[in-house]
Amino acid sequence: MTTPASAPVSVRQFTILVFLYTVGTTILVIPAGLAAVAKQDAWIASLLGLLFNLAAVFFYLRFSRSFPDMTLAQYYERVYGRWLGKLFTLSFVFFSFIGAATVLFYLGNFINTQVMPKTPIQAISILFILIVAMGLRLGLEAIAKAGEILFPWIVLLFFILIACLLPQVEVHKLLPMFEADVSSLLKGAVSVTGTSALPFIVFLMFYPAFVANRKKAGRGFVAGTIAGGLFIAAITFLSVAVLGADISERQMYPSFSLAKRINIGNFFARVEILIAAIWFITVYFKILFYLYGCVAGLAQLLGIGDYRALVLPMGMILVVYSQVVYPNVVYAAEFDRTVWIPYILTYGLVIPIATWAVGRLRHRMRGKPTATSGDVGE
Amino acid sequence: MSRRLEGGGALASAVLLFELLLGLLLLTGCWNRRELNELAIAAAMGMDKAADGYRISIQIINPGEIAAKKGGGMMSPVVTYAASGHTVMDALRKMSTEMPREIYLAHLRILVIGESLARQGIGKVLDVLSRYHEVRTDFHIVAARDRTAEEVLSSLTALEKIPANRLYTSLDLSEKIWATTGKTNLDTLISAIGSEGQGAVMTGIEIVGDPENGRTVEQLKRTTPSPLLRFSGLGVMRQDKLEGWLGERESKGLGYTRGNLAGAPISFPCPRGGYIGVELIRMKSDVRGEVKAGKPVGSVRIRAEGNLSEVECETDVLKLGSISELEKETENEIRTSVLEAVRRVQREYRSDIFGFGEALHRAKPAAWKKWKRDWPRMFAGLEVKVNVDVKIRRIGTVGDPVVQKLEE
Repeated sequence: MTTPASAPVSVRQFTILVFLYTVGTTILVIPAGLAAVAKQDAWIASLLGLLFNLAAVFFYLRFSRSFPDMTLAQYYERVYGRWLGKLFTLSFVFFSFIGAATVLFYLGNFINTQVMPKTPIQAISILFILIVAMGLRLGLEAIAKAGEILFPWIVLLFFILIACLLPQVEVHKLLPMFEADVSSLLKGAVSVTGTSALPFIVFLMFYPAFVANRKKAGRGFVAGTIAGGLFIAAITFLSVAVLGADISERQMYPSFSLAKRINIGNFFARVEILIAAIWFITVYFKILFYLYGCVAGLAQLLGIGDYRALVLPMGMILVVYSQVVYPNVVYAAEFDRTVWIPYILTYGLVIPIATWAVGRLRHRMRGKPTATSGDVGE
Repeated sequence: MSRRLEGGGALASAVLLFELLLGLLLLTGCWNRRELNELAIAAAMGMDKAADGYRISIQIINPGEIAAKKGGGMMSPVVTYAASGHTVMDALRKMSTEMPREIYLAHLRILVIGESLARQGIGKVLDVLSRYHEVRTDFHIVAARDRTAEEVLSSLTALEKIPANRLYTSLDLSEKIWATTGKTNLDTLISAIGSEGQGAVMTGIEIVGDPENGRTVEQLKRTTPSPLLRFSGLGVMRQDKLEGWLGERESKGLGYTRGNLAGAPISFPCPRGGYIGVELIRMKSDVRGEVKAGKPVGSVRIRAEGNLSEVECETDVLKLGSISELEKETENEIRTSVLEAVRRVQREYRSDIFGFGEALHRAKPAAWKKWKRDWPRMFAGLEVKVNVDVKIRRIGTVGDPVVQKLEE
């Protein structure tokens, strides 16, 4: 995989992709989880989560400065040497694959639960993965442009949602404020970061190498994260203020129940499935980039110059795996509550920090990077 | 693609054809689509206690009769089916043995719960409704007073062809202008059942007249249809169980604390016979929980604006003093009915339907934590202050009352 002469992703497009990726799945699952731990203070926890997100992003920016022209997988091999590096890449490939499978499960499960209960989940997954594969085969440039085209729709639907629900906001549902103790707020915030910011690790497969104007792209990374975080905070706020903490907590998908509440004069009502386009689009980008991390990592691992050949086979395996990754919803909820956080912390934070530290150490010891891996994969 | 077609000839077209056919496999439309003529749209649902579970009744709209531009009135606009089962779903599915279409619940307007089931507890049956994806949360929930829900659903109504619609709209309306009813939907009910500091209420519905007659269209041809369905009073719930009914005045008292009954008429006797009526047009109320001397205190502040609507006695309404006197009388009336409602609920039902507990939770979370376990007992002995401020702005289209002229 070589770095193309002109970067396929512009700064503006990158910012939008960051935003979409932050919001995907988070918007579906996070409000209920936050309401469960922080009750009516859920929105405070989500704002705190935004701060954590920013901390994570600042780290990624710093970390990615060590490999301005490489992908994460290439950097692993440079830092750890050929074999150990490939081992890290392999585990990263597994991580992104599982990430993609869980998100695909969430999407199918959402449609099965709320919209079309009798449609086989496979039909939904196959249709969805087909457009994901199409996007991946068209390449980053097309993906980035798709994001740019779809973004205004997200904004429009979001403002419709907000505007239609503002009259139903009941301030007393937010009271008493600051009742949740610090530990539950932190717990909520960590879950926000675990779902929305730490998965950014797969972005390091194309950032900064394929993004134009590195300096501005860094700012775009931060801006996209802030916008996405505020978006999530707004949805959480509405959940609590319109539905109430107890109802938000009971709901499987509070943001969808929220959209169901829209009713302007018995005329503009029952539009929830249009609003649901917000999560179909954002979840699309989430799956897409997870799968991108997986196939790009695998291509690097196998020494294949172009990842495109891997997209369809991996997509097929992904559809099957998404059916078994969670045997049922209770398992999924349990997994998210207990396993996901340490899991994502390992891949999104511990390994990158270790790599960063080792990379710096080697840099300082030798004065320059090791000779073994300077041009692996090129 | 086009270049391939030009050069490739037959093979390329075959591949293209195959690709197009592949598309057909995937694009067959929604998997479990259901056409409108295969659906039985449920407008109302009734739930009763049965010997071994629940008896569920469903009021289905008869689309042919509703849509008929002319020649309608031959058939009943709605059909009610009922079946029993161990669970709600059981009963619902069992109905398929007697009806030709599949029940569709997304357009449910009203849920009627039979009194005996309501007294036994409704938590279990509400679960299925909130779990089932088809059911929304925007329908009203009422309790059938002394009757089964099935009897209520079997009664046809005049003016509105679909009884469920008529119940829905008249509940909306009566909450606005009569105030002894209250709208309860699935979310508010489930919230209140799960809350320690806020009890739930359900509006009662009763059948006036012989329910047997209500089953035929014939009765609709009279100007005074019998039987009638009527909303009457509010049922007080403790957790998920119906405990008892509030009278008209107490129901109004509760309505005042919720501030949702602008338009409600208030009348009180004149000093020398007859009544004076005031119609409230704006109302705002504020329920608060406070801590005074280490004890919880509940307070209700009501501010209302109203107009003079009728005068049966010889008062000089055009005098400045008489308006402020009227304001005082109205305030008194409101205060008394609120206090009556509070006393009755404290004494008999011990369920905090006014939400003093929740208000205390919002204002003093620390104190609430200490008391919430024991709240039903605390509520029963709670000191409640009622503060009412009424402003009468207008006296209608005329000045002095007619009776004053009569006397002269």
